Amino acid sequence: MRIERKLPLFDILNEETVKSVVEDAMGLLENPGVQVPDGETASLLFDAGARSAGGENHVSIPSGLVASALDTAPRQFSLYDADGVECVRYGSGEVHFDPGSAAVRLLEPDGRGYREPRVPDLVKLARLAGRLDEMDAQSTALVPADVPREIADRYRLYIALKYCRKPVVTGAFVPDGVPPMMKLLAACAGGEEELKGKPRAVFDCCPSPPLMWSEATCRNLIDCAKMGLPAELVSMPLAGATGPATLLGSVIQHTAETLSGVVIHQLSGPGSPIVYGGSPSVFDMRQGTTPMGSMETLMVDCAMSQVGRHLGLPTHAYMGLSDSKVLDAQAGLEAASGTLLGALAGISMISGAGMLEFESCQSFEKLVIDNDVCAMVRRLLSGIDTSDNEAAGVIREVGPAGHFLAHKHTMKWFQKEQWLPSAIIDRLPRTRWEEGGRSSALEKAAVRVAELVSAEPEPVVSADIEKDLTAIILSEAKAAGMARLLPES
Amino acid sequence: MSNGELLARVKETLIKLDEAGFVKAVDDSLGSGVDPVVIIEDGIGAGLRALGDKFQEGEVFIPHLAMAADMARKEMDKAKSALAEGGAPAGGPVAVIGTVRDDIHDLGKNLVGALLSVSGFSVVDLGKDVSPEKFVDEVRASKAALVGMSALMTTTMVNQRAVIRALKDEGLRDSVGVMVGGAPTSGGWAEEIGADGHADDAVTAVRLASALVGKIGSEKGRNA
Repeated sequence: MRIERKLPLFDILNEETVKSVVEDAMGLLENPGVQVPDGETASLLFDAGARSAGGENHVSIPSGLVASALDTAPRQFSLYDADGVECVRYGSGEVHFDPGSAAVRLLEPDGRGYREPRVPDLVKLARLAGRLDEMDAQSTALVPADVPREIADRYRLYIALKYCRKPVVTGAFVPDGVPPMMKLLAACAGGEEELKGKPRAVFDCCPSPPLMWSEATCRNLIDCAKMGLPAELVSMPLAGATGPATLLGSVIQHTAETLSGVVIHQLSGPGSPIVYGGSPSVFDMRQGTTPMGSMETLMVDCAMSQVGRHLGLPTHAYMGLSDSKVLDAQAGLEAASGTLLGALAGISMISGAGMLEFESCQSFEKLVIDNDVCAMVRRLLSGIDTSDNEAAGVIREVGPAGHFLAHKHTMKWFQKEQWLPSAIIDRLPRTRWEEGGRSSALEKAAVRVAELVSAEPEPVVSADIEKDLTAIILSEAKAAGMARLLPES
Repeated sequence: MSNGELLARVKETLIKLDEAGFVKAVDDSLGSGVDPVVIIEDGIGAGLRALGDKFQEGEVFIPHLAMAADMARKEMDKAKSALAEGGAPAGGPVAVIGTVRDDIHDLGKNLVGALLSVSGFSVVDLGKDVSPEKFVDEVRASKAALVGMSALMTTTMVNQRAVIRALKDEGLRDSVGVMVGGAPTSGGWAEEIGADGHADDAVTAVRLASALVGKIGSEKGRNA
């Protein structure tokens, strides 16, 4: 959703610190370098002038290589919906939201119980994301337990494309995951060239901190670059565990890892769209967990995205998630803090809505609540309108002890100035709240979810495209040993 | 200094994470002829268990445990090499742990290793990207009571099944407790692949490990 941003950006680091972070990261890429798998990734880097840094597949990446990669990487690109309408403008300065992924659990509507997600839940998620105005993109946010693991990545994309028109934030689970997913996307776009011209999806590709790349991720990253599919680098150093304990240290390591990804990507497909993203976290030293809602995690997010912005790349972060297991006060406060800070930091894509339990559990009820959080944050970003030069005159006119309710000035302005939340946010006087059933936000969210998913489904793909999608996924399913596709309702 | 005092020094220096003092205490104990098995169990092991208790109480944190486990591993190796050929085996029940094939994420596995070693287990950490054959070989060689497998990716968790199959093929499955962990795994998954249990964090993993070792009736299970 396009809004005019009037607030200044929140810079958590000063300019000198950002520069020294990048310098340190460049130094790390030279020494000790990064560990990449054998074969294509290593040859790609060596052919371009990288050197062996000793160690097992350690590659030293000279700063010149980083500079040329930053040169060819586009500063902006867009994602388009099923109708070819531009929905997400990465790198434009606008902030976008999508549901957090990829959950292996789904919270029950009571906000406490959970279960493993199945294909009908993917359908529900896609339809819900399609109907929530603040979600600029959908995401393949659930890992379906009823689909064989080897093809779960493409199966969930198939459902996303079939049931929701919005662009998709997605990712592959296996080394050969991207090509079949590309086929699905191309079937919707009307061909591979059409898809390249108007990308529908972005693929998350995650290095393995510290300073290491897995074979699957490299394969995915290279495939995306070659096919011109947008990729999103999601490095996740855990401060104190897989990254240094200091927040700044984690930002330095994140920078090195992400830049190495930009290099691998741009060498494979110069000019291919790439996002400077991340999902860093501090490491909780009592529980051994990765709190996504902790203030320090959010601070690292703001810092790493500031570095990305400084480097001229579109940014992304996993923010607005909560570590709570239930829909409670913690879930609300963590979701709001993260979404707010991410938006103030000007991050292009903020992935997190609906997510609980670190990055493990998605909740439809939280997703609709978070949709309101995103709307509130957007209201903040549009700032205080300073174009009203009549206010003092109106106050003078009404004078002491008067009121403004019936004034033309009020009529002219109030709907522009106030954003009205959905019914989930309670602003009722007590009596009417009691008469209305004393509902909590969670109870109202469950009602809203039911309303949104039970509404008459809008057609998303034509019969021809649906036939193509089905043929592609059926052949994948058969190769994985399935006799038929799974029921979708 | 009496043997008791020497062992107390081993324990106390480990609890304080006083690396130099700890190395010296172990060296002094070995030099004074204290049985290496006793050093491992009543000195190093006692120190690790005390730290484990402090962790449960919230007095120390994971980095303390990780550092203590590192210090202890080195000195235990030293003490073991001082054991006469054919001497009595030292340490608690053997837990063989590793991240399964094709998976290079080992943070969770390392945490489980550190916590197991402060809970009386003798931990053999096979590292990451570990083949089923390697698990099997080590289980046989170390007469392990427990196998712990980690997988962080939906794509590599299937290799946990391969390890269990390999243990079965080699006739070793019934002699070990098998537990699995890692973000995409679950109790249902453990059941599906024939593991004995699943834990979603290191503290739960140790609880499960202790229960499993008790269950299979290992004669070394007393520490757990």
